[in-house]
Amino acid sequence: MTIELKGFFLPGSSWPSTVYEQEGCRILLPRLSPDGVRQAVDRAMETAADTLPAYSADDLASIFDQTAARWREPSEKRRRISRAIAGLTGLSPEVVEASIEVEQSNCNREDILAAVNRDLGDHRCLDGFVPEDRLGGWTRAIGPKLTGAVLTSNVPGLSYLSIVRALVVKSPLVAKLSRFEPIFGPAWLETLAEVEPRLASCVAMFCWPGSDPELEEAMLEQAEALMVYGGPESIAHYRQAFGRRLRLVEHGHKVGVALIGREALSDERSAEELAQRIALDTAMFDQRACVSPQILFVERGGLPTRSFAALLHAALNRLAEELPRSATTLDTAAGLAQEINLESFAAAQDPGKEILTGAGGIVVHESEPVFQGVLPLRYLRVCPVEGLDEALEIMAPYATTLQNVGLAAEGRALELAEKLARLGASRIVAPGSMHRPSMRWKHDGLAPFASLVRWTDMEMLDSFGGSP
Amino acid sequence: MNVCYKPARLEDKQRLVRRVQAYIEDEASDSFGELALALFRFQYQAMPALQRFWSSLGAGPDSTSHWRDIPPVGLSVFKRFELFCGQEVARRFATSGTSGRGRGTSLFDAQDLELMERAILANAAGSLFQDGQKTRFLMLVPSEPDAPEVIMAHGMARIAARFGLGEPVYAVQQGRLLEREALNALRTWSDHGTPITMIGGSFGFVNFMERLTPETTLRLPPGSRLLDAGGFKGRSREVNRFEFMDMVEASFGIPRSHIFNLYGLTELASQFYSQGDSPKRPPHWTRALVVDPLTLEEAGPDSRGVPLLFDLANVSRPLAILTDDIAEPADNGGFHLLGRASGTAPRGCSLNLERLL
Repeated sequence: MTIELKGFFLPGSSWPSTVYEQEGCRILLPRLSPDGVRQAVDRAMETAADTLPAYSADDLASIFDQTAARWREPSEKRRRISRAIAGLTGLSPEVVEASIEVEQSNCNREDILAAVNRDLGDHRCLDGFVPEDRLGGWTRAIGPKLTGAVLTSNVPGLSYLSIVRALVVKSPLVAKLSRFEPIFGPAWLETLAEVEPRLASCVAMFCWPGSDPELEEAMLEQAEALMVYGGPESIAHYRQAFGRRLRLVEHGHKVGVALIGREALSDERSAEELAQRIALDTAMFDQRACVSPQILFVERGGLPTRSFAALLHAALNRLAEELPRSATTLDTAAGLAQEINLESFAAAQDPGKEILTGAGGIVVHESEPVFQGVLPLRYLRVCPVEGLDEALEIMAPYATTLQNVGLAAEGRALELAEKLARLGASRIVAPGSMHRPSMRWKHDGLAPFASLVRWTDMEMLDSFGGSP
Repeated sequence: MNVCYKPARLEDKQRLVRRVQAYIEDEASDSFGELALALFRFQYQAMPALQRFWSSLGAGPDSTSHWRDIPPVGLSVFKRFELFCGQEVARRFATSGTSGRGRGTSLFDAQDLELMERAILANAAGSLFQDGQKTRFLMLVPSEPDAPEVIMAHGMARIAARFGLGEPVYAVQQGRLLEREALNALRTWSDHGTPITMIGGSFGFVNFMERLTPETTLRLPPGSRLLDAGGFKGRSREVNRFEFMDMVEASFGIPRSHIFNLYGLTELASQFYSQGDSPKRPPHWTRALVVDPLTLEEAGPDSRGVPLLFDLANVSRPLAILTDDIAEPADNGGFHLLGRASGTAPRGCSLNLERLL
């Protein structure tokens, strides 16, 4: 039986769509004109104006929690969507399901409110004026009249996050879905519609291939803020086209690294545990997420770094049974073969260098530390360093690309964290948790809610001003 | 760039070069398999870096007994290592930057250049000019002095010198097509009924043909032919082979039987021609296997893979090369080239190696 899935979410009327078939599913994509997009944007904004003020931020957080709860447990719908995403992205269905589970576990009431409170002080400022002691007055946060989002396909299940962030600040959302995976966002909104129908209608999700200036303009002409996920070209494009008019919240491509102190490799058992954790960080999202580690700087003086590389390789191989790797297209295999050939050639010239290949992934042990990324195919580069400060020096020229740092250096964590913070890391975490960034994290070093809102303060009130 | 070369013993190399030259000229003079293994043994001794690579994979003079088992060197290796065992470097060609790994070099000494020239001419005589026709040459590739590092400019100049009538006309200068000059040359020669060979990059032809109007469309004299190479690489509209041939037929009146495509790599000294719809035909001193890039097992008749190329004219450089282009095997050792490497990694938001290099 062929499954039919929508690659858009445009409530209110039936949309003409085109179909493309993909591994047992039919994906419906909307046929869009600039005027059609404008109508959908207007409808979302009208619904939002009537609907959103009636919810408190607390209500909204609970609704999102209930929605996510339906995705946290295995279900027929989740299996169906996961299989379809696997077909679209090449990821294995097991990895897709695990990724969705990780993402949706993040989306609970407590974490959403805590995240908002981290950014805005008191989430109730989204509902009305609240007293603010440090101001000596009252304050109120207002979300954008309309928020836009440009989404990607690399982390299954992530498209929900923009919905939560916009709606919780009481802003309707219009989003362009990735043409490589346009189905999770609409599926999540269908669940939201089951929980709270009016709320889902404050969102419109579109999909069109590549860049289309007219459709982009139609979608964003009323927006005040734009969240952009994407590569350097895509970020540059939106910055150039909309950066002057809109508040941009950019989530560009990044590199994850791990810093492993010698104390973590003091005995075989600890090293083995660490290897398993890093393997999990690597296998989740199949290393396609920016939180995934690529380069590991490993301090000499504990277990030999080559032995650690071998443990990592073994751990990746074991994990491949539980979380199978992506299907490799010929194009990807051709590129990977060149990479393996080159690294094997280089390893043959250098007694300190080694390449381990196998069913679970690739581990390259370098003789000298280098900051060189990898093909995101469960591929880790192990760089031995004399001390972790050496790793910091090597990373320095690439600081702007840095995001997550897995840190295993008990007793020195704060000292190293200070240096990593100055360098540009936006999240420091124990290995094994790199793949589970929390809702509370200031995503990519930004304040995700504060970046969207504007503020109104009431201060210096006296009897003439009419105190609230 | 890691420079890995030392000159081989001159007499060893000369003996091999002579054997290869004789084999190029007369297939019956030797056996491909024996010559390939002799070349393998020579390169194993002469290029220590290659020896270390081959040894790390368990290949060597004692353990490798069939040319098929010679481990290939990936195109990516040329971007980081200069592998060469010739004498004094006479020419240095730049490899293209496929897969975003930057550029490498391919080195030739005087003897290598001569051997390559023989291979190029023998190959052209067996395919492009198998009818023995002499023609004028319109070059949509840069001339050698304009592009001394481009191996195609070198090779095409050799072909024009051997098979051409008069001096070739170059209609590309500093990367720009001289449209009026090109059309004038084509008209003048056509008026005299002289057959014409046009040679150029595939993208250059597409751009040229798209600028032609009904008034400038030509019917070139019988015996005229066109040779394109190199794909599009985003420098023109992408067209498939059939559309390309239809365009050529409509623009110049050249029938499919006279439209040739050449697959060449700077890392090799020999090239692979196809004619019309037919597959690429490896000349007898080469072999082309279409393989799974990761296992190097040959792809079945209906499946795809990447070309693994063996070239006996590559004496001073590795004789077995693994490419990352996409191909389909055809009968009798031929293959269809379906696409040049795109170098695309899976879509991730992790920055990949190309961006960081």
